Amino acid sequence: MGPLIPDIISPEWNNIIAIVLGIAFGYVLESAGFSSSRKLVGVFYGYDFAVLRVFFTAAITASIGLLFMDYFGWVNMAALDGLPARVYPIIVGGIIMGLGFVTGGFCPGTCVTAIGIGKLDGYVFFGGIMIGVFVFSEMFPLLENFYNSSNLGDVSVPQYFNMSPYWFMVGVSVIAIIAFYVTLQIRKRIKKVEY
Amino acid sequence: MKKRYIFLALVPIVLSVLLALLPDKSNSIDAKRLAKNLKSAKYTGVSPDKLLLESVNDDRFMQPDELATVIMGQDPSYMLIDLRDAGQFGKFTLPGAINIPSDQILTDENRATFESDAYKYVLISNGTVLSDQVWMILRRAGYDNLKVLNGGLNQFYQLYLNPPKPGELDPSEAFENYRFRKAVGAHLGLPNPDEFIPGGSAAVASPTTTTNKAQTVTKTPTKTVVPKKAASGGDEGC
Repeated sequence: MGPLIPDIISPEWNNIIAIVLGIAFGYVLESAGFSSSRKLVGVFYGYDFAVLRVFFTAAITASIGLLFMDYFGWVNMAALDGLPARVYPIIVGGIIMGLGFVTGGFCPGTCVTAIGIGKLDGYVFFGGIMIGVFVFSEMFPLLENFYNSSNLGDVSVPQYFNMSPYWFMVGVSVIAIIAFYVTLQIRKRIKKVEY
Repeated sequence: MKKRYIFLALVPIVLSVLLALLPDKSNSIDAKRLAKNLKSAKYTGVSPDKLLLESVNDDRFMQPDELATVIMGQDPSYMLIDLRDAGQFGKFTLPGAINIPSDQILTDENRATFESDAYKYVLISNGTVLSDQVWMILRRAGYDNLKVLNGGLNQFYQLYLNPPKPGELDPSEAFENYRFRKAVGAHLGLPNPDEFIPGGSAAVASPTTTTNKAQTVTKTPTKTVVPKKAASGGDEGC
């Protein structure tokens, strides 16, 4: 199972474990209410910050867990594959993704969850993703130079700024808690939206 | 409700501070990431100081007798790499050797040859110098299990074409060695010096005259080990 306990669970199980994890992930997304596009875009309009909280919590839980497992030698984090940091393409991609998110009301994972419970807008959104993938693939030769530009390689933020990943994690946790608190206050002041 | 929030908020902070304060960062992910990035830059190899230490050590040398034992026993765990050019390789080589000319040693295809852990690689050239240079290059590039045939093919053939006769007062091992070397010579198809050279050891036919035809294996029977790369890419889905 990936870099974790490779001696106990052989690589042949990878796909099976991936399916089980995927189902569990979808189940959690759905039970957190993330198959509703109104809930998802609430974060942009300020009436529901569940997205920010859930994903931020997931991020810090996963990173602290990974760092601990790496510290104890159960997981070799260096063996995990990171996407190369291409600064400007990622900014542009983030803007496009954000626009798609706020107009469509889903991100790719949650749209599949919405399909799972039979929502029509989920199907439409998924169709849009496929069209976008097709268009991007066809246009790739034109975009290739930009796509590969400003590549910093597989670096992490603490590595780039040459700081301890552990203290960086402390900082991220603090920021997360502050964000949770601030969003709680914002939500209190904003008129409740029924959806 | 409020208290529970505060408790939950404290959990990640406490855990991450604990992580930061834990002693001994020998397992530090920074070091490992660095190592990994070096790997992707194809410079995993041993550090120069370690290479220097290794290069003054004779462990990398394989003696002709060891190699002869390997050849006679057809030991599958050794791969003989002939570093001479294709012309010389075509004239003669050792049984089972494959040809990777020294100037092509770092092409992608040839690098893949050296990535298996299943083999010990014996570098062979006419003498020791070329194979030793290639050893250094490969070692610096990070490859393991490399051996250098001491004395190269010249000494190898000299030894088995014309093994030095032990004197009468030599220990019995010397006689065993002599018989072994003659047997190897016969196995390799070398002429028996006693049969055609009057008096034995004075003049020896050049090894190039031997008719031991090259075994022209050009494809490597390697089990190539693909560099470790976890399932690539993958969008970070949300």
